[in-house]
Amino acid sequence: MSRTGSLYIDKDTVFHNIDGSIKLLLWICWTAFIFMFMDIRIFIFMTLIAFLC
Amino acid sequence: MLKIAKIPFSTIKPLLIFIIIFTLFNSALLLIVTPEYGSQITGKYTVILKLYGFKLTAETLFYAFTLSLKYISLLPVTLLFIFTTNPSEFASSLNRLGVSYKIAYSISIALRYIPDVKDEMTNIINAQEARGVAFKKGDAGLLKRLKNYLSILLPLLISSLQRIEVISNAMDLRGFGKHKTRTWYTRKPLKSADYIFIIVSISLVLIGIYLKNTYFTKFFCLSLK
Repeated sequence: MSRTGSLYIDKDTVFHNIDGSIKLLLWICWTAFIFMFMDIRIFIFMTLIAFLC
Repeated sequence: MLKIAKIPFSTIKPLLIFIIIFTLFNSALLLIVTPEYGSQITGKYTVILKLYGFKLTAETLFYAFTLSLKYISLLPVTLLFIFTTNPSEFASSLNRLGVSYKIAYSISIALRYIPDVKDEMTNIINAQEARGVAFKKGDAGLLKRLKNYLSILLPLLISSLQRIEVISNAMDLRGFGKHKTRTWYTRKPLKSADYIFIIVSISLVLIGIYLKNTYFTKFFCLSLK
């Protein structure tokens, strides 16, 4: 946990350099995508992408 | 994504455990309240547990498992957002989208003070432990420890309200809200990577709509027979 006063971890990666609102858009779209389905194959695929990539 | 963002697993492990416990609890409640819901959706009835009037079907169990995995699949992106977004930069980027700077700043403050509230909770627990209140395993039974944890809520609430008062006074003294617009110290222009992620995000939704209408139209349930 950052002592600057947030959960933010300061590193130089692609995700750290993306604008906050774009990450919010990605989160909204990811959530919308997940909530469209009730299929375990989709969820396993998305979880693996997110955790292993 | 979490690997690319270089977020250490030790950081996300407690949150992951919390979410897994939450989803298990959620699934257990679902199985108790609606033990035949999965069967109602699929039309198949494979009873795996029969206890007095209570009948649990395999389809409902699979439905609960699918639902749990649905929640877990939302976790990585949420963690990615929390751990890679600087609250100040996020507030300025929200303001650029047209969100009022007062709302943007309140979101920024909420993100920024989560660790402070956590520290405050640790301090209260330490203070209570010094007075002989048991919080650790072995010092008291589970129910007693849970009751002790409830007793920290009131001091935590009061200290949070005091913190809010200090912050709001500081903001008032600096003239926060006097003008309709404000400048931001951490405002950055959008780069090519940002545009790529906009395209990726919108494509994800479009692909989802396509898949929903073609291949993954209904609840998928593994055939158990």
